[in-house]
Parts: sequence; structure tokens; C-alpha cells
Amino acid sequence: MSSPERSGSEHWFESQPDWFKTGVFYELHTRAFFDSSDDGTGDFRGLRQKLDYLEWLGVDCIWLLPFYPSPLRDGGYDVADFLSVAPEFGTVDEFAAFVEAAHERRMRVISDFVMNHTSNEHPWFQESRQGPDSPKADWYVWSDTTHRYEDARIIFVDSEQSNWTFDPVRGAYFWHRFYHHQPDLNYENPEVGDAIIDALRFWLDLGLDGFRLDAVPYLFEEEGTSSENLPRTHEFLKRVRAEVDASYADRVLLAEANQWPEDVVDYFGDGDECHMAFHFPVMPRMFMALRREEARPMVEILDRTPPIPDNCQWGLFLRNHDELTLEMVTDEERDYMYAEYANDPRMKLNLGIRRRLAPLLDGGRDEIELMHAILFSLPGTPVLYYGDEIGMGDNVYLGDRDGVRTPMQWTGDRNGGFSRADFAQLYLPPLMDPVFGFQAVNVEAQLRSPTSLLRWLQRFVALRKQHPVFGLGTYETLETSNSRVFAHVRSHEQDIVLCVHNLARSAQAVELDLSRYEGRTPVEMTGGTPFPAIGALPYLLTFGPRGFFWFRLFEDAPDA
Amino acid sequence: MPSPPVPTNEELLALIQGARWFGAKGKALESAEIVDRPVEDPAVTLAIVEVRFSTGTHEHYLVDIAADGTVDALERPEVATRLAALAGIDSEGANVRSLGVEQSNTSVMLDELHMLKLYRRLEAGPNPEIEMLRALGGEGFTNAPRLEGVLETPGPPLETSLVSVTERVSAEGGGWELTVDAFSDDPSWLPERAWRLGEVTAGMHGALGAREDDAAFAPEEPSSESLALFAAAIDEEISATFGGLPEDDALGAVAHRAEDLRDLVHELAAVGPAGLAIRTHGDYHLGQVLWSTDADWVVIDFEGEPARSLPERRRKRSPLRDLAGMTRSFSYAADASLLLWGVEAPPGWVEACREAFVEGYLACADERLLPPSRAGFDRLLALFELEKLVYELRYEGRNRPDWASIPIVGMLRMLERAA
Repeated sequence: MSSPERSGSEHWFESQPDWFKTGVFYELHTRAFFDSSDDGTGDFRGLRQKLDYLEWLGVDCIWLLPFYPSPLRDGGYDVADFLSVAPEFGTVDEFAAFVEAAHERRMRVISDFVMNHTSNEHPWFQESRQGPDSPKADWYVWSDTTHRYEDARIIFVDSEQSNWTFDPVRGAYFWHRFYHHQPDLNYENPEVGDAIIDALRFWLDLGLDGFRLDAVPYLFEEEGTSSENLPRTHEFLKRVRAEVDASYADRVLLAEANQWPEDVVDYFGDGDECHMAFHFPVMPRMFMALRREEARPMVEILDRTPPIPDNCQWGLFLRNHDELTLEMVTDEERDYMYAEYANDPRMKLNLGIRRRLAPLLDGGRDEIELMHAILFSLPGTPVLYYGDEIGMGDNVYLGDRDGVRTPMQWTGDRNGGFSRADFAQLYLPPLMDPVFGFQAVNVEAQLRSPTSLLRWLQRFVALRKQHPVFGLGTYETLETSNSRVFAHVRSHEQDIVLCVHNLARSAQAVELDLSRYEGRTPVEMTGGTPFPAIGALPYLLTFGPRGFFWFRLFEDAPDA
Repeated sequence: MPSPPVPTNEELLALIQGARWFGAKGKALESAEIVDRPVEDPAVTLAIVEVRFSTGTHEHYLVDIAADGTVDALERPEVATRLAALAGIDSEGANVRSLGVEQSNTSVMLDELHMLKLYRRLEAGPNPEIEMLRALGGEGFTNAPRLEGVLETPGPPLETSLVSVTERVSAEGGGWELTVDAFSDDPSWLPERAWRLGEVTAGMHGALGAREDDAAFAPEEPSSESLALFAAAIDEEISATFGGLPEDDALGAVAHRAEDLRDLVHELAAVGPAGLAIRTHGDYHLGQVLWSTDADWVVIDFEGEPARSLPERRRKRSPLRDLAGMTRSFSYAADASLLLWGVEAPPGWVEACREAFVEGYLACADERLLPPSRAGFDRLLALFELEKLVYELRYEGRNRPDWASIPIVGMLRMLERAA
């Protein structure tokens, strides 16, 4: 057999190991998408009913936030059982039926998986805390003192004072890199790694197409280090990859490692670790570039991004379910970002800004389009965040990151069409403000209007997917005569694409040295209009405010 | 048992590239290789060939090989009757007749009693035609060929059907040919039979919507935005199609009407509840119905549109899409008659057929499958017709500009009605 065997529903797909490089991902909360059972919380049956919408939008892969049983003190990232579905979302069978229905529409599904820690309500922890004689005594990191691993930073600076918390039951301290109710698993114990891999297999056997691996840099600890990105953490991830590759075809591991690019590339290994990793630092710099109206912040980080193995891909996003993280910027840059994008202190959280895309950009349509254009033009796979395709807003008065996790706005009807439950029963109130509330911003209204953001984005997703060069091509920044203009070239085989974006809120002109493409004809990609052929002299382009052009550079001028 | 001589991979590659049932013409082929032989019999070998494209993707095709190594030998009695036997039908010594040109599969007639079909392009999962024939037979719908036998393979690599045997339908001819031929001497031929065609179509949909306990067929409530998504997709289609139309006088009458058509889409999409979605025929037109010697309609070819993927063909949809396919085919028949033979259909012919067909359908329809009001029904049917018109315009504009007048006239008529 030359093609791998498949079971279950995955056979709708051809064997295509690099599928994740040319697709568009869409991140959503099962809780927030659609409620089919009228209990105020979204569920898998509801999600299944909305697959037609995601298919229409052009989504290739759905990324589900954690749906496992959880006390929900960290949005479900505090997992109490790795092998089950939280009852409010449905059953494991309903989950599998959803995955199968997605596959029938040629969409894949990946899910968040939290390897680093569990909820303190997980039976493993309950057993472990019973004392040193418990069979799972060493499944977590216990200590009699807090003076171990002191070089590890505290990540949730707003809520945690230490990485150690005393457990009165065991009479010892346990290690946690995140909340004190999320004890870290002890990977020194090989049984832990085996149990985690068994849990991954459980979901892969149900047809799941991969995982977004949460908080992977922190699996191992070591005295005298920051306890992040340690070699043994990479060793374990390579073992996970080898086990997945040996039994399953076309799956993807997406690492969440909020680190500088030179550290993140280690998570690709030699193409034998994670398939994908998020490029965190590029995102705040896109917002900075837009505010400062200059390309430099973006160009700097892109130019310092090391090359990655051929079978790997960056994941890129504008916004996600977390705060707009400012860990990977300098203190000065962070102050600038706070001043520009979080004028209300309630908008700040930890080292970041908890806001959605549209409110961050003051609802500016040109800005939203420009930011998507830049995102879609960069080397990597774009990840959309549910609701941003219609320009949903946020609610900074809700706690933690709930403000960006409110119900999806389907219609202008009661509860925004998300649920038929009583308003008071909803897991979070839908947005109702006059600018971003569901009566002003919803799928139904935007579907009807050809000029809406939603319809524009659907066309734009389709455009990107028509051109594999965006997913597969090389990237090269172009020098420009105008610092407000961000220009780069992507090329793959015969396909050469020139992307030029005006970051300024005023009209601009730019001259580009395109002499190496002399004789080629740029054809604008959204409308197919040919522009004057490239000559030996600098190529002049003019833009309206926040305008952009994507061109294919043709050897022979096509017909108009 | 001595293995029959088998073609080399190079021979397979050439053979498949040249075969008329090879669906991916124009795509660069890299290699072909036999990955499984689900039937290895002294008379015939069935081989599953994996064809790889230079893009890295692949497709599977079924190839029959006779004892002497000849490929594509279904017309030989010993090959056809042996396959029929494996599918459970005894036709020893039968006379075998080839059924001529076929696009995607290969069929032969055995003694004018049984039709044996070899499926060429194989995809994992239930074969939609066999699934549909089983469901229709199971619900007692008799206006479709009776499925007599199937040869399946349990996989791997593919769990699917290879060969089917159906009862031969004794017919005067196909709906398309009989309609077009009748224009010169008896143009009322179809109008007189269109009511019955509507009834039969309603019976087909009723049977397809009756299997509540069968997940592949159970009727489903469409999601609340499904119609809006459909309308948005047509709207984009109109915009893309009209943007790419060649400069042509024939297109002039409609070229500037894109905005009017897009407005019409909006108007028509205000249907309210659209009714339940069910499995449908999927490629329904006059060429897919026969007029039997018992003077009744028989619906054939349940494979769905060959260009669509298997899951798409098995998707549940509004049955009104089938109706739109048929009503558009009435217009094509009338216009083709004029374009090809200069024989004009009598005035009002298309409208008469359409009305009789729709009324016949409504007289027997399962109301759960339809919008609750007649106005909603009319709008939804028109919306599906408009979708077909846009597709027709794009297809004809590119491939047969002389025929573009057919969808153009249809569009103008629809705009007139709406005004």
C-alpha cells in the first residue's frame, strides 16, 4: 500500500501531509458558538448545525478550545478529565459525529490539549495529594520548600505571587506555572508521559486531526534555568510526534510557545517535532506598525525570524481567545501599546490587552481590511478568531478574558440567535451595545449585504486559497522609498506575488526597485486588472489611506 | 491458479490517461500502480489502480482484466457473466451488448434482462447510486430500476461497491430524445406527460424522505442561515460570472443586468422556513428519465453530479433543487430544438410543461419537505432556477457562446416576471 490506511471518517481526505500549510484556520469556543439544547451554553450538536456557515466562509480547519470536563476556573484550560466531554457540550459520540460532519465538508478539526498541567480537581491530583505513598504520588511536582526553581518567572503576574502553592492535604507545596488551581504534571515520571500520549490517541482514534498544544515550553523544570524550552521538553515532544506519525496520517501538532522566534523554531525540531507553532511576536508589531504608520516594527521581527524546516509552518493571527499578549515586546514598546490601545485600565490583563480586533481598530473598516491583508500575505497559516469575521466587539466589564468570549452573534433576534434559553441562563451575556451589539453586528444581516465585512472576508479567504504561493512560498521584504509602506514578495515555483500595504491614514506614494522583474506585468489580484509593465526605473505606486495592492507578476501579459 | 498476465505500470498509466471514464483529464499524471485486486478469478481480475498526480494527490480507478491480459474487456461474455455471477445474478451463456458511450462508468446489457455496471472512479464510502436504489426499493418506489445484485469489496484500501446489476427497464426512450423528437409532429407529447412526471418526482422525494431511522436519509432541519448562505453564494456567482463574460453581442441583452439579478436573489431568498432537507437525485433533468413501454416515467442514474465529491453528492438538500433542474431542462429542450433543427416549440410550451409538472408534484408532495406557503414555494423554486441559470450562462459563455441565448432568455423572463 502506497497510501496510509485510514479508518473512520478521515477517508474523505486525500493523503496530503502538508494540508495545514495552505489552509485557513478558525478558532472557536464550543460554549460560545450555538446552543442546540436551549440551556444557555453552546454544544457540539449546535456546532454541527453551523458547519454550513464555516464551510461557506472557506474554513479548512476548526480549532476547538478545551471542551473537557472542567471546573472552569481558567476557561476550560483547567482540565479535570482528558478522556471525556464536558456534559454541557454533549457526549463523546456527539463530538465524534461533529468531527465526521466537518470531514464530510472537507474541514478538519483540531483541539486544544493541555499537557503541562491539570485542574486540581483532576482525579490524578486528588490521588497524588494523598501523600508520598499514593500510587500517583510523583505525578505532580511536590516540594517541602518554595526555594526550588527560583529562576522561573511568574506568568500570571496579576493573580499569582509564586509558582508554588501549599496543599494542606499533603502538607507540601506543588508547582504551577499558571494558576494555583492548576498543578503542573511531573514529566520526570515516565508514567505521566505515557498517560498523556494515551489521551492523545483516544481523540485521534475518534478522527480528530490534531492538537493545539497549550503551554508546551514548561513541561520540565531544571534548577538554575528559567525552566522554559528545556532540551528534555523537546525530547518529549519529539516522542509525541513519532508516536502520532507512526499510527495516524495527516495529523498536525500546533505548539503554543509564547517565545521569541529564535526559541520557537526549536519546537519544529528538524521537522520531527511540531508541525506548526504560533508566531507570537509578529502580532503586537502589526498593531504597533498600524498605529505608528510605519513598517519598521513588522519588518524587524520578520527579518529576524529564522528559516523553518520545509514540512513546518507558522501559525499567524490578529486576535485570539487570550489577551493581545505583550510579553514578546520591549518595556518601551509595551508602554506605547498600552497608551495607544488600552486607554481604559480595565482593558489590560497580565502583560497584555484583552480586546477584540474590531474595537482595537475603533471599528475602522479600512483598518480591519488592511490588517487582514497583511496577515494573509505573510508566510504562515492565518488563524481567524470566531466573531472577528463580522467585527464583533468585547465587554471589558466581564472578568478575566471572558470579555472576548461572548456568544456568537447570529441574528438581531433574542440572545443574538445564539440560544433560545432565558437571558439569565446564558453562560455570558451577549453584547448589546449600540455599536458592536448583536442588533447592529450579526451574521444574518451581513450575509444579506454584499459589501459587508463578512462577505468581503469570505471573498478574501477564497482569493488566498486560490494561490498556494501564500502558504508555500518564500518571503522577502522589499526596500521601499517610503517608510509608511510595507512591501514584500512571495514566490513559489513560477508564481511571484508582490504585496504592498500603506500603513498610513493618509494617501501615500512609493517607489519600488523591481528591476529584477523587468518586463513582467503586475496584475492586481482582487479584480484582475493589469498594471503597467515593470521597467528598469523604480516602479511607482500610489495608495489611498490604509490601501493595499496584491499583484501577480506575469512573464507574459494576460488579456485584460 | 495461474495469475493472468497483468499490464505494467507504464501500460496502466497510458490506458487510464486515454480512457473516457478517466475523470481528471488535464491534470498531470505521475504514476499508476495496482494497489489491490478485490477479484482474482480465472475469467476476470478486478484491479484497483492508484493514480498519482504530480501535485501529490491521488485517485483510485477500477480496471477489469480478462484471462489473457486484455484490459477493458467487459463486452466479452465470459467477463460480464462472471462478474454478474459474483454479484449474485446467474446469466450463464447470456448475450452481451455494449451500451456505447458513457462518461464515467462502463455498462453492458445481459440478454436484454439485466444491466451490469462497472464503477470506474472509486471513492471510500457508500456508492450513492446503490444507496439510493436500495432506499427507493425499500420504500416501495417502483419508478426506478430494481437493484438485483451488487459486488462489493470490504477494503482496505477502499470499502466500496465495484459492480451493480439492475433490472433492465423496457423503455420507449429517454425523456430528452422523445421530447425533442416530438416537436416536429406532436409537440404536446411532453405537456401531456409532465403532470405525471411531477407525481413521480414527488413519489421519489417522498420515498427518500421517509427513512427516519436511517442516518444517511433521515430528513434534516436546515440551519437557520442555510438559505442566506445559498443566496450569498449565488450573489457572488453572479458577480464573478458577469465580471468574466466575453465581449459578445449575444450577451448584450443581459450584460448590464447583473445588479437587477442580485436584487432578485435577495427578494427570492425571503422564503421563510424552506422545509426539510433530504437526499435528492442531485442531477435531475429530462436525460435522467425514461418513458417506459408501460407508459410511465422511470427515473435513472442516481450517482449525482460526477464532478462533485462523494460527501457533496450525499449531502441532504431541498428537493426543490431537483425540480429546478427539471424545469430548466424543459427550456433547454425547446431552445435546443430551435438551435439544432430550426423547429420551434409552440408558444407557451415551456410554461405549460412547467405548470403541469409543478402542479403534479404539489398534488402528491410530502409537505414537510416544502415551504409552508405557495408563495414561499414559488420563490424558492425560482431561486434554484436562478442558480442554474447563472451556472448555464457561465458554462455556455465559455464553451458554446451560440447557446448562451438559452440562459439569457431565461434570465430576462425571470426579471420580467419579477418586475
